[in-house]
Amino acid sequence: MRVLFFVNRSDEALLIAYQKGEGQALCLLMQRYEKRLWNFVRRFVADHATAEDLLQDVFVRVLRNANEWQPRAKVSTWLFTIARNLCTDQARRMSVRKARSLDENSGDDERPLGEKIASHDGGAEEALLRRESSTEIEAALGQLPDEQREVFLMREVLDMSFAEIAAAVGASEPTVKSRMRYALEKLRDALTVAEPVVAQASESEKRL
Amino acid sequence: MSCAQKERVVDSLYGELSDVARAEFDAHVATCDSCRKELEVFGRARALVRPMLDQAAPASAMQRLRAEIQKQPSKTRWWSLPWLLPALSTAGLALLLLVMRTTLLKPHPLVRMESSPEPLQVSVPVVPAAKPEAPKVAQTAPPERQRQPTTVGDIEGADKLDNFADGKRGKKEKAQHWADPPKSPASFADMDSRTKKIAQSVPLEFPHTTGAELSKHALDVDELKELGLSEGLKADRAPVTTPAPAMAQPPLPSENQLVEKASRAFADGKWQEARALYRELLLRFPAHRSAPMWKQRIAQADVQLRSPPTLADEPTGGGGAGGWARPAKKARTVDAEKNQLQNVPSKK
Repeated sequence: MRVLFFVNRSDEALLIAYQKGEGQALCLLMQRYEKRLWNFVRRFVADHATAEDLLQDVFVRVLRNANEWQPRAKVSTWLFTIARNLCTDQARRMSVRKARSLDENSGDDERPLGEKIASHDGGAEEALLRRESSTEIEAALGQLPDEQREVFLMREVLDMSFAEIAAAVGASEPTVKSRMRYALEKLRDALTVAEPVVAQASESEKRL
Repeated sequence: MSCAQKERVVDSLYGELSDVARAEFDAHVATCDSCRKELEVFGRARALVRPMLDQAAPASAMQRLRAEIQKQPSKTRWWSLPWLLPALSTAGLALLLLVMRTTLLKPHPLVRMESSPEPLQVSVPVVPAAKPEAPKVAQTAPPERQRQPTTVGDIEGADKLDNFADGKRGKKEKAQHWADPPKSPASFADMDSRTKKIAQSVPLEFPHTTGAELSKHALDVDELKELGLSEGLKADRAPVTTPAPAMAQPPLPSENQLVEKASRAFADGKWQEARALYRELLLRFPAHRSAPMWKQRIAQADVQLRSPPTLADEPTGGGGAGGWARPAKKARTVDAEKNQLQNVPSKK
């Protein structure tokens, strides 16, 4: 009965209800954002299990900070900021491990792993052979720098405006738009590899 | 070569251009192949990315959240309980109906006063609806009346008290009744047959007058208090909460019986018995109009018995106080003086 009572309530009303003791209200609020938060976290960190743990951490963090939320703040922005901060923290820890592993030799190949990733020779050829656009896009998304990926995901997944993203990441709005553009260009490059026609058009544009 | 309007591609792609800016950019895109192709490529990339960003979330996060909420101490307040709304609605409706019933069915005070005088009686709830009956009111009489012998005058007074009970007389008249009770008839012989019958049936005392019965007539007792006539009632008043049961005491012989027995004993020469009976009559009915005659007969009995006078402390006109403490040789002189005072011929 209480769940039905909260169905048509705004996010802010739900969070206020939770602050007044309605635990069901917070569950309902998180159900509204569960999918978006998951996709944001899942694309921010490449590993599925890590993303699942990270999503739980986001929920627990929301639960613990819910009583400190002030009605003047938009609930969605507040939620995504919590998720973004946890993801950047996690990405920073992973980058440290990644940097450590990139310095080491990998397998029988004499080159470090970083050089193999940076090299477009073999990867481009495989990509051309596969012609699997979505896979290329997914790979390109995973290879985006964190600041570009977070802006892209916040815009695409969380549907935040550039102004909200700028406020969340602590950057100016032109900077956010610039990062967005870089992210889109890299995705376009991946798509160019997957789709020769588009790639040719792009090359002809570059020659011009 | 890059277009100057290229910065607007991203804004246009995500709908963050104003209507005017969007119209201008659309016009530019129609003529600029670079911007148009970039819009197409970016749009296709977004379309490819979107399915990847629409996956269902694992259930573990919500389960964890619910578990964490369960761990928290309950902060649910009583006013947010689900039953509160219907309960308050029902209570409010009931209250409304009650108020409507009270206000709508209650006549206006002025209308009530004009319509009938009865509500005025209802407005004094302390007053008992039924006034005590006459004999019961007589039981609540002041103690001095209870100490006095019950005479036919009491019965007559009871008739008047019926008038009190009917509200035909006021407090002053009632107080006058208690302060100056009606005189009794001259003798038993003066009574008519009906009065005699009633007098014989009424006990001399009221042993069943208990606090509980007095409390039934609280109005009369209170009124008597106001009039200063309630002395001695406190002694008779038992706690109302624990009324003592009426004690069954044997009724004392009536005045008429005593007088009859005493007269018979006196006539039969039973001086001792006659003296005791007359003495009891004097003790019980000192204000009786036959009291002087009873005293004379006691004196005669004393003379017959040649006993020392026993009425030294009785109001005999002043003569022989302390006489029987005198020496025996003077006893005869004292008896003669007493007999002379009481117009009784002394026996020589």
